[in-house]
Amino acid sequence: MKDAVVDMRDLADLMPMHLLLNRAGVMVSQGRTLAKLLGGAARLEDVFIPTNNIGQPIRFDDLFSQLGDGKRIFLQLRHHQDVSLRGHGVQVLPELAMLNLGFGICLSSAVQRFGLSDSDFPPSDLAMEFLFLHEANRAALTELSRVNTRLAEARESAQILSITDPLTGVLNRRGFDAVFSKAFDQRDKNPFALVHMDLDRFKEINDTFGHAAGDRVLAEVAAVLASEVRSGDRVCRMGGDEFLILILADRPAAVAQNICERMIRKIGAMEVCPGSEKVSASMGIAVSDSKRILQLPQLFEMADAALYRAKASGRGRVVSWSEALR
Amino acid sequence: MHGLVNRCIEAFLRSTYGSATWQKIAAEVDVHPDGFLTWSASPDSVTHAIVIASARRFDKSLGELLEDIGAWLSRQEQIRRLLRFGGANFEEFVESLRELPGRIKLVIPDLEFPGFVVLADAPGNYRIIADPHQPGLMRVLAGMLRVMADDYGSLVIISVVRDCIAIEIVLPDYSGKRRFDLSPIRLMS
Repeated sequence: MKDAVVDMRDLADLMPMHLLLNRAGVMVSQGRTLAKLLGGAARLEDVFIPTNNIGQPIRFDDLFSQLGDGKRIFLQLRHHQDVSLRGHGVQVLPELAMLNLGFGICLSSAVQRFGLSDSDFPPSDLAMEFLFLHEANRAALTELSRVNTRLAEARESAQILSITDPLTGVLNRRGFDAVFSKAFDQRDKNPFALVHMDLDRFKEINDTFGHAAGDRVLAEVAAVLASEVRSGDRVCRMGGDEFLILILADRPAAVAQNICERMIRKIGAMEVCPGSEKVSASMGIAVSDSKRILQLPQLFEMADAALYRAKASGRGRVVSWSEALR
Repeated sequence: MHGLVNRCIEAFLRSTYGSATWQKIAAEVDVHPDGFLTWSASPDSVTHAIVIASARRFDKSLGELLEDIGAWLSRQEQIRRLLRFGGANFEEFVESLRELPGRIKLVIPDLEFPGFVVLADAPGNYRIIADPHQPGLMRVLAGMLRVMADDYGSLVIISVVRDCIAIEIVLPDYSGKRRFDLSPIRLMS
């Protein structure tokens, strides 16, 4: 085989990305695909910046003398930052070298820049498979991200549903517990008041006007509570006609007292049903900055005791917990 | 059946007949009206039930409906482009079909694509013969081939008999072929 002669033109035909050049950097012959990138330039350095394997420019002389021995060469296109070629070469004569180049990872950019088509790639080249995969992957990812978005939305709405009281739209007990235990942990930094409320003689409304009317009253009461608290505060329906309210404030006792009085006035002014008496609400307040609180359930007990006192002393009023209630 | 297959049928029904019709069909075969979300597989009977219920609703034969699905699929630009990677002309495209299962496997490894063979009987004459366990596939593929023949601008006679598609390319360059750039976006530079 040593003496077999391969015509240079046959070889060049076989390699649409080849480059034949002399020591002066003149491109003697070029593959038809590569020619699309060269735009008729005569010298290699008119079009390319030779670089080393980490992209730093090197002298053409160095590139030429290092050819062979399986060494990789890199050519950055001068006018297209996003396309650089890589390849290898051999010295076929002392003054003549042949390079075979490829697009590597810049393939997509090169195809875009130079409008390449499948006939620009030899059958042995994996370019078409690469482009196919690139596009197929993108299509698959588009579909997957659609799925992701839908699942995330579904998860979010399921989460909201799981902590919402369906009748009134305020938090349910599960939702409130999560918010409340977080607030309790941060009570030194952000003091708060816990309000326990229930409606007075709600059972009579249910018995006289029916459960639908009762439900309507509960929804209206919840709306009043929700509209009277500030944005960081939370309202919860515990069940039946019992509500919990979390009010964050630097002076929680005074602020909660104010808010609760307003709520009681507004609830008292609600139109319930023709011929019924007005609704009224009783409330008990416990604040987080009381010295004696060590555990979370204590606050609930204190608010509950204050509510009991409000009921016992005539209803339709708000009572704050104090040592006297122990 | 792989979730993507069901998703494809759902998308075909929604885009061709409207989401309300899809929901009626889904209710009829007891599938969630939101449709197929994930790629997880469901029993083949679910897919079959959707196809059968749809064909009955639109008063089509199963074969017609399956061909419609294939044709619709090929007309989706993303899919059309992927198919066009198969070859520079319709003949090459048909000859490259034997690579299709391999190509699909590269992208979606768990999508079991049924086997088939492509036979070249004479120049421009091919037969595609399906794995006998997948009776519907040849109909879907026939629908795809009809659309792709148009896409390549070729005049082709395609007929399906049971598990076999016969293809006769009458005029390879019958009308203008649709443009296909290797890159989906062409930069104006």
